[in-house]
Amino acid sequence: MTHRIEVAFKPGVKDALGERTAKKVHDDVHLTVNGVRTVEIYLIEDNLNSKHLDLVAKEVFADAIVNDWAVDRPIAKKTDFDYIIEVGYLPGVTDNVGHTAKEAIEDAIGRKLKGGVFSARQYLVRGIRATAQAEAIVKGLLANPLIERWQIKSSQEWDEKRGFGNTLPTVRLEEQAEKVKEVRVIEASDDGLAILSRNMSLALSRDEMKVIRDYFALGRVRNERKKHKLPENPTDVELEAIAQTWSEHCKHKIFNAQIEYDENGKSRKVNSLFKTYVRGATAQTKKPWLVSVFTDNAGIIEFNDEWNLAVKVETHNAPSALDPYGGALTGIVGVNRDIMGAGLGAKLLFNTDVFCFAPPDAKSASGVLPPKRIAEGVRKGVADGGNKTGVPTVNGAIVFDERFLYRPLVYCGTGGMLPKKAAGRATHKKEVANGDLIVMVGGRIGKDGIHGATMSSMHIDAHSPASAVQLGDPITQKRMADFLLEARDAGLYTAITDNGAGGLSSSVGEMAQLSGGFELHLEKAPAKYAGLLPWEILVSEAQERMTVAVPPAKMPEFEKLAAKHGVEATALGKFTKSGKFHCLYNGKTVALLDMAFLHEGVPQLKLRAKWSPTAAVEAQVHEAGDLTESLKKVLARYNVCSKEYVVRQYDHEVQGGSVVKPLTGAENDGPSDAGVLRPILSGFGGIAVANGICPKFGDSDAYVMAANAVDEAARNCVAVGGNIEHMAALDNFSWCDPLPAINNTDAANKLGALIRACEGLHDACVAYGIPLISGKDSMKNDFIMADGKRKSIPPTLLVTAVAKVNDVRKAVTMDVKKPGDVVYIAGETRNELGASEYYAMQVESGGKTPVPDFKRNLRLYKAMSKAIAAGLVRSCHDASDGGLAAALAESAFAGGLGLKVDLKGVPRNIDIKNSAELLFSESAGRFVITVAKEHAKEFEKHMAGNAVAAVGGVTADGILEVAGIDGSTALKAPIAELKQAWQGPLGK
Amino acid sequence: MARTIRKIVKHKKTGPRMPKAKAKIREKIKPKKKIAVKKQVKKMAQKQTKPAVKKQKPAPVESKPVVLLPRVRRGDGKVRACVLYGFGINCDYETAHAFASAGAIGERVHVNDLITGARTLREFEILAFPGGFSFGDDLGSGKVLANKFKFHLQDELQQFVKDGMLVAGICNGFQSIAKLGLLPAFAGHYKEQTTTLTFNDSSRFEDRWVRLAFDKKNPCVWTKGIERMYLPVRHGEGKFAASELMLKKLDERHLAVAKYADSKWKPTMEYPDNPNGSMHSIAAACDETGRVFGIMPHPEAFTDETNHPRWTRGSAHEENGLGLQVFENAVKYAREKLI
Repeated sequence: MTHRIEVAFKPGVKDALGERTAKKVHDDVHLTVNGVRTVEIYLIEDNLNSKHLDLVAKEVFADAIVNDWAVDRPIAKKTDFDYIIEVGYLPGVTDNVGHTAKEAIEDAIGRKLKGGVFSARQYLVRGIRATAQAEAIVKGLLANPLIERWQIKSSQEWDEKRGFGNTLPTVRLEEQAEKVKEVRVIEASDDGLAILSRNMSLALSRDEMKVIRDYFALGRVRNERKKHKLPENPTDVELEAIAQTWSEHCKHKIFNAQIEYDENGKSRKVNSLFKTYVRGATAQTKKPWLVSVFTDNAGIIEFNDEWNLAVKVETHNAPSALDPYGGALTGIVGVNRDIMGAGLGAKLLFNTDVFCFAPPDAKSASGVLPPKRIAEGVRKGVADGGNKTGVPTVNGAIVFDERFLYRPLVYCGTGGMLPKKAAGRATHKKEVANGDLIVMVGGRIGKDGIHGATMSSMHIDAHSPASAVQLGDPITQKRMADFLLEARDAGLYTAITDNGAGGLSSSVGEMAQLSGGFELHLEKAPAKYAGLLPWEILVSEAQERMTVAVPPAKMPEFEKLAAKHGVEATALGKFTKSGKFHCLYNGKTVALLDMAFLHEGVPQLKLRAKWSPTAAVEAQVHEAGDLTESLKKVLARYNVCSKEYVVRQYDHEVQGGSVVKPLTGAENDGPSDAGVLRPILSGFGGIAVANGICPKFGDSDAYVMAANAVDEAARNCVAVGGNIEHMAALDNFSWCDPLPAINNTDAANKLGALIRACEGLHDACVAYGIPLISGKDSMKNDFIMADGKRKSIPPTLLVTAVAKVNDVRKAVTMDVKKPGDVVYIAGETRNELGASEYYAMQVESGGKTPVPDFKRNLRLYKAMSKAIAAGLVRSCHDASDGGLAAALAESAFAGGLGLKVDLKGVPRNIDIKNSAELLFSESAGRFVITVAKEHAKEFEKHMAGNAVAAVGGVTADGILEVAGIDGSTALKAPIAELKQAWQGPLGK
Repeated sequence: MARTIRKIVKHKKTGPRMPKAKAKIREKIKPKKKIAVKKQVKKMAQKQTKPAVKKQKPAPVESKPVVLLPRVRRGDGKVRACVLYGFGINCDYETAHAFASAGAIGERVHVNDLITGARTLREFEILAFPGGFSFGDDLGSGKVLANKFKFHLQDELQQFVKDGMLVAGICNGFQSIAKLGLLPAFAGHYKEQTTTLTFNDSSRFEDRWVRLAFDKKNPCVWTKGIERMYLPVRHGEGKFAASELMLKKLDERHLAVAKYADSKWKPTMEYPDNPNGSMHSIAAACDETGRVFGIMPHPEAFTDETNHPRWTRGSAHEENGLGLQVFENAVKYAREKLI
């Protein structure tokens, strides 16, 4: 029997969610309603007596001060609404509220429930007249058909006794007679193999399928299979395991490809972008504080004598396009698990978030969600992922470009602290011994997330499977994180990794490389519901799971600790040294593959790439005289304006170590260049975190985009006091598909752009001495429209930098501090307005894009690092989007003070002809700095040999006043007006 | 360690700080079985001291039998603070750090270790419900955690309060102790919920620093000597709500310890100075003894000058100092009165 408990706000109590929903119906669905009230619904799959039901309603679900409740009857009356909408989850979708409700009910009634608890929400809408309007509200705002279901009734149709009825979203799978299928590969033709790969959604190429066919045809393999009573052909379990392991997502085939590269007519070979440019750059930096790079779930560097820092950044683009909330939430808790699985497991310290969206007012297209809905869903997903797990979101960026309409980019980053030793062992190394138990910890396995790794290696189309979308469960993960740290410190396991893409197949497969094989009993894996097939258990990417290697002697203690934390931990088999990837189901072998074949068998891709430089189109700025109006327009551009609306909703200071917050200044609303935090509360050592991302510079040459991204990330870290000599970076490529296909004719150019980007990344990192410690690539960011046409994102590289701050008490923020302080501008401005915000606004294209001068910039950054460490700098702000004009304005209004600046002295190249060019050029390597008068001389001494000039002073009058090169007034406005322009577009 | 202590003391019938009513009754009963005694004691005690709300008392299998026992005294002159963690509580580390900075032993204790009896509140002088997202705020913030105590640890918790010990609930912890009824608990009704923290008027989670003006006559042990403070709120459900009658009583008895204030440090209903629409601008409250304290903003997030959002402007002390004072007050009181 099913019980239904409904909880509403008492009449007269504000229903904030309802009110907000009404506003969004107006803003986003463009319907005006007369009010929305909400009712929380709980469906309980068990038989409870009336005493228990009352207890549960009153003590578990309702808050007696503000709520009314009803048991087994609708609380909504006909007169309460014109239309009533109930939204719940589809079967199998993670229902966090339902899970919590189950535990809470069990606490209250003192026994386990027989079935599940499912949550839903009703919206009681007044002021609409037609079912079509209610449907528009549901589809445009309240529900995503990939994960949610809904019912609609008008007040006339409403039955006050029966309501919507109690249909539970339980999963029922038909029991399959044949649990494992043989897939006929050996006899298949080449074409047949390609069709097979497509039909099974394996995302394997024809060449890869041929290698698989050859493997199963080997005599040695045939004999072994006979011994284990396996068919000649691979089982579906085996094929799925190979497909996961060989997916682009897991194997980075494009980054490891052999490329025939035609650069400007000259041909050369590139053997592995990764080895040549990424690992190659790191090797050249020769930093002694690198602990573990490119071998683990995250990069690990030294923080101090006792602690290491692990950092990882991931993309979660494809899922976020389908369900922005779930995709982003899963993204953040997913990258968190990378840190939890780095070395022997680090404690989460911070998150970063970088999004690329179409502008919120962009026209939406068919087949994709409207940009505003994507942005709002992603924001909420990252907020819930970070806030609920107690990890501060310390830095981020949002980039707007129309070309992200079809595919938004969602980058989630995480850092964590790892004590150098735990239970007497070095924590950056994993060890797995023959006989250690394979233990799965955390959530259960379901159909959700099957084929995630292969899906992200394919294109999204109008028919993508719902199983690709998942909702994360931050609390299950938080419990698991608490548990694993204690288990680590008690020495209860020797290796750990997360279950992300590829599920158990990847996690166990990877860990087993340390022992040389494994034996996995699939039926032992806890499942969310009955009826999963063996291959589904193996490759499911159901969330919140880690795999650990536990020595058998430690297992009882491990299980005891898991029970204390309310975390599920199950032994699924053991690691061996057999050299085999060996899976069984109810005692029968269902997969037996050579580890060597699985991990090294994938054939190297052979690709072609080409690139030739395009000459920059000459462009000139003619605007003369007062540029104040242009400045206001620049400040109001989406790429420049305040992101406070988003930042405010992230917890950016939990854990108590916040030093430089994302919003700073006299009114806590100026834009920080980087986050600074103090990971060990008893000390003053700190970490600066910043991001560089500028896809707009990639249209002319991806080299320039990459070099600028590194420069921006490094510059931002330096601006707050990060030490350039102790700085590391992570690269995250989101690219348009560079593999040739009939509808992808310029694939070679896209790959050419990728090579250019890698070269830019490499050269900048080597020049600055910034090692790359980890990275990721997402190579399939194209959307295939219904007519087969392709929509591509602009090639985008995110560079995330982390730097040591020797003493956080010397950190600097971007807001000007005191009237009378001297204003300096550091770094040379050149005529580099190509792709600048100013040009984009003028509808003027062309112009040179900024090319960082590595040598000069490095000299400046070193000098700045020292000047800040010496306590000589009052404020420092990097000049990027919007140029010096935006940087001056932001520094001023964030500080609540005016500036009086004369452009004549500003360091500039001779190609700068007028004030507009000087103010709006986006040359790299520049800062706006203020220094106390008494420190000016000392500061200048520190900066000797750099292009630095005193250009004015901080004033008390609250006016930004800039005299142009020609002596006339270039800018003059009260800071309040400038701030208003800057805060306008996205609000607070 | 706790287990052995329990063994040593379990034959004792009463503890020095046991509520008088229960102690007296206990003397009258010559028990054979402890659990039976406990039930009898409880029943009779309820008859004598008027129970707040009649409650069904389920007996969950995993819970330890609750026996009224004396407090654990270590005699080392150290104040011990029990900082809860588990289930999504997430400010436990910095809260423990704040107690340590204030001179106490701040120990993180898993809620389940209290439920199973592996640890006991009797080892501690201070109990802190830290901030975070216990159970993801599902079913209402702090609610499910409150129920964990209500259904598994109610007797132990009630004894702790009646023994005169200190309790603080910060943010999510405030939500929990309000829902437990630990404050304001007029007339000693520590089981009756009369106030709540509900959804912000803005309907969204916000991280924002706010000014707090303290009631000069408030009896709260935790906030002694504090007139103003500047702290961050980080919540989506922080709107203090209660009946008008209750609100009036809170004000009259100076139990609305701190109020959200405007730039002139006057209580305000204006957003964003009052970030959530709290009724009567209430940001913090305490019980009549001043020992049970709930606060929505995070004092543990301001234990060092560099936590202040404008410390680089030299503003870190302009609002009367660090959040750390709250912990220092509690530790000082505990050192003087409780150990």
